[in-house]
Parts: sequence; structure tokens; C-alpha cells
Amino acid sequence: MSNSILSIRNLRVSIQSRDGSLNEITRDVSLELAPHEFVSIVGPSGSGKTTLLRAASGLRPPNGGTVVFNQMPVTEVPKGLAIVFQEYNKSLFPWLSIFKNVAMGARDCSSHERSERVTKALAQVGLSGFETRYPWELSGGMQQRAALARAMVSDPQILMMDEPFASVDALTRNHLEDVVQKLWDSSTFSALMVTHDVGEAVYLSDRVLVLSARPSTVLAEIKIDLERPRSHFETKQSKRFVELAAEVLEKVEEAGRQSVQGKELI
Amino acid sequence: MNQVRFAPDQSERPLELTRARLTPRQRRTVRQIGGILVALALWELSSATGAVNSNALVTPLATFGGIISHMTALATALVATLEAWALGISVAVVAGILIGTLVGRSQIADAATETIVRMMRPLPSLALIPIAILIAGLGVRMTAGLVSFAAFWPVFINTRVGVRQVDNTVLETAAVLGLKKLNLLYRVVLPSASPMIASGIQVAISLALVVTVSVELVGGTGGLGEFILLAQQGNEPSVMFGGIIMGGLLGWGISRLFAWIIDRFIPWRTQGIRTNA
Repeated sequence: MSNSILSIRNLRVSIQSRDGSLNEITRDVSLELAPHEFVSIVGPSGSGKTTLLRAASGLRPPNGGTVVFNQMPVTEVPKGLAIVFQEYNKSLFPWLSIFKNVAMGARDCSSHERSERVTKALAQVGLSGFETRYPWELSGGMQQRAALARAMVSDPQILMMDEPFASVDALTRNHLEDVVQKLWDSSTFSALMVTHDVGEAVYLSDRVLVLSARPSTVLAEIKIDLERPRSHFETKQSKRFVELAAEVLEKVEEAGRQSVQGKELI
Repeated sequence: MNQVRFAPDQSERPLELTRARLTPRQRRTVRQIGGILVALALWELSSATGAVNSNALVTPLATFGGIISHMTALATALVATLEAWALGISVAVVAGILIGTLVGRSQIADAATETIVRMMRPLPSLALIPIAILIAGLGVRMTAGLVSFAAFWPVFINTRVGVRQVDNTVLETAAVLGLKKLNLLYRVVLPSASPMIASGIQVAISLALVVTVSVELVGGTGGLGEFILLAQQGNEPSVMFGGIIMGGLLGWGISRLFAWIIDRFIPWRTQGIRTNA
């Protein structure tokens, strides 16, 4: 267990509602993330996936349980942790060029090294030549690639992604998934991705965690034993992929039924 | 062979060709000029027909004559007005951004100043002329002081709201990037609030001009306001109208200049709306 780079134990997160009462979002979630492991968290909408990610990254304190990153308890977003958000149009700063946006991820480096890293990261995501452009001059997919490049320049140990491809069209999504896969293949970071897309989770991950309905616990953990590297053409048509996706989907639907039943009780 | 007949004939589109000759921007300019010409015609008509007392409302041509005959005095008055305006707006912008940022980022400062702000804000600047004269005496410093008092509020209020309403994703991104305190303030919070602050300044610069000319007119402290006042007292309505028109032109020039500056430095102000939609 001490081998893991990120260790989430019995995490509980509640959100204070307007009247002051605590609304329990996440009840009890534990997760060990090994070095260079790709784990996805799926679950029905409202199961607190994003809340879980925010607590795991140190963006907000949990109401119970612990998060340990590199043997250090997480109290704020630690160095070595990068996050890609769903809303790329807000996550990239419109007052900075693409180059300067990406360079924000490597503020600690000397300017020479920073510039080298930015150039390399932009090349990795296929955005060479767009250095002087501004985020709002690029398409959604390109903006999200820039956000990925910004995460990469910091040379993170963990890349967290919150519904990273939910705001782009299907073709762009396939392409972005492969960009992420390639980055992950050619590097050593661990990835923790939150998504509602079962196919995407299975396609990219080593392990998929299915959350129950709110207040969430881990309903199932499914190991994805598909060969790497994976491709949209072959992997997604393989028998094993279809089986695994069906297994995950079944669990997600089970969680969804729970949530419907829960509402009926209210 | 039949298909040939159905091919659209590109040569027979004279109407669309003439329309395409003007870019949307040029068309807008033409319409703006048209609007001015219509306004001038209405003005001419209402004074020439005697619909309004022609001693009070002189014709556009007479006004033009008034401007030409008092060129030097007008230029001196304009410079004086501009000086008081610039002094006042500079103080207002600097103070508005500084204090607005402080109050917007600190709950203590916000609570402590709230009542005072609500009390001070509706005070008309002209009501403060007596106090201003006591403090600064008659002159440009007094005018500028009142101008900065009036122009401070839009800048202050917009800055306060702007630095407080930074989008959560923007703040979380900053947290992931490890930006804290001063770095967070000047790399993220202020740039993010800049469109809002710019809108405040835009309101402030026009308001500042109104107050400058008003104070000059009431207090007789030089500039365009006093020029208008003296022309009225000297029973020279055409010269008085010249002064008023010059004031309008000054306001137009200043706000155009500022709009141009904003477009240059905050180009994403309008782009953002499109991409965030």
C-alpha cells in the first residue's frame, strides 16, 4: 500500500446548503493509485465525482478521511499534481497567449528551461505554431490540448482530469483521448480521471471505479486488462472491450437505479 | 446537357455586388454620419422655423461661426478643462482600483466600509463645492478634487465586484498552478476583473467630464464651463453653443480613445462572451 503515489482513505465530503445543513455528497471512498497507473471514476450524475476529485486534489478540504500524496497529507494542491478541467474556456487565461498560458505550468523553471519545456509540450499535443495565438482564437479541442500541455510542462506525478472531454464533439473526443493516451504512454505520471462516459473510461484506464448514488461509496472496481497501446479502431471492437464496457455500464446503471429509488423514498 | 441551364448565372447580380462594395464597418460609419446629418437638419429646422426661440437656439451655422471667431479662447478653455479632467480621473482610477481591490478581497474592509459607501455615493458633487472651496480654494485643484470624488465611485464599485466575482474555475486553475497572494492578485484576479474595471472607467470618464464642466460653470473656475458661462452672460449665444458643442466633441473623442485602448488591451472582453456562450 505504501507503494501508492496517492492514497485516499475513507473520504467523506459534505456540502453546506443554503439553510446551513450539511448535504453528504461522498460517504466513504477509498482509493490507492499506483505509480503510472490510469484509474477512472465513473458513476451516475450527481454521485459526487467532481466533488471527490476536488477533495482528492486539495482544492477543498474533506469532511472526513485522509488524502496522502507522496507520503504527505494533502492540505492544498501539492506540487506534482496537475488538473485538467472540463471548462477549458475558463481554465485557460484569455489575457495570455497560448505560450504564456502553458508556461504558467512551469513558473519555477529558469526562463530558458521554461521555454524549452513549453515548446516540447506544445509539440506533444500538436499545437506547435500556435504559441502566439490566444485561447479564444482556438477551437474547443485545441483549447483542451493547450490545457493538457500546461499540465504536462509541470512534469506532474499525477494528472487529474475532471470530465476533460465532455465539452467537445465526438470526433474531437476520440482524438483527445488518444492524445492523453500517448502522453501517458510516453511518460511516468499516474492519471485519475472522472468521467460519465463508460467507453472512455474503459478505453483509457487500467482500473475503473464505479461510484454508487449520492452519498457515494465505491460500488465496484473493475480491472481493465486490455492490451496497450489501444486504438479506437481495434480495441473498441474487441470482444474483451465490449464485455468490460458492459460490465461497467451494468454497475453504473445499478447505481443509477439506487438513486431513483432514493428519490422515491423522499 | 439539361444541367447547364440550371447553373446559376453569376453575372446577373448587380444588386448584391453594389451591397458587397461596403464592408459592414464602412456601412456603420455611413450610418453614423447620416445620423449626425439628420440631427443637424432637425436642429437647423427647429431654430430656423422659430419653433424654439432663435435667441436661445442659434442655428448650426451660427454656432460654427461662434467656434471660428473664438478659436483661441476655446482652445485655452479646452486645455484647462482637459487638465482638470485628467487630474481628477487619474486620481479616481488609481484610488478606485486600489481601494476597490482591497475592499473586494477583504471581508473585513467590505463590512467596515459598506455603510459609508452607501452614504457617500449618492452625494452630488456640486453640493460639495463649498467644502471643496474651503479645502482647496478656487481653481483647478478644487475642480479636480470634485471630479475625482464623482468619478471614483464607478471605478471603485466595478473593481470591487470584478475582483470578487472571479469565476470559480479560474480560481481553481490558479490554485493548481500554485498562485497565491500577490501573484494570484496581479496574474489572475486583476486581469480577470479587467473587463469589469474597464467598464467602470468608461462610465467614470464621461461622468468626470460632466462634473468638470459643471463645476467650472457653477464655480467659475476657468475651462469650458466658465467659457460657456461668460458667453451666456455676454449675450453671445452662438459662442455659448460653440462651447457646448466643443464639450460634446471632447467627450466623444475621449470615449472613443478609451474604447480603442480597451480593444487593444482587453481584446477578449468581447471574444470571451462568444466563446463562453
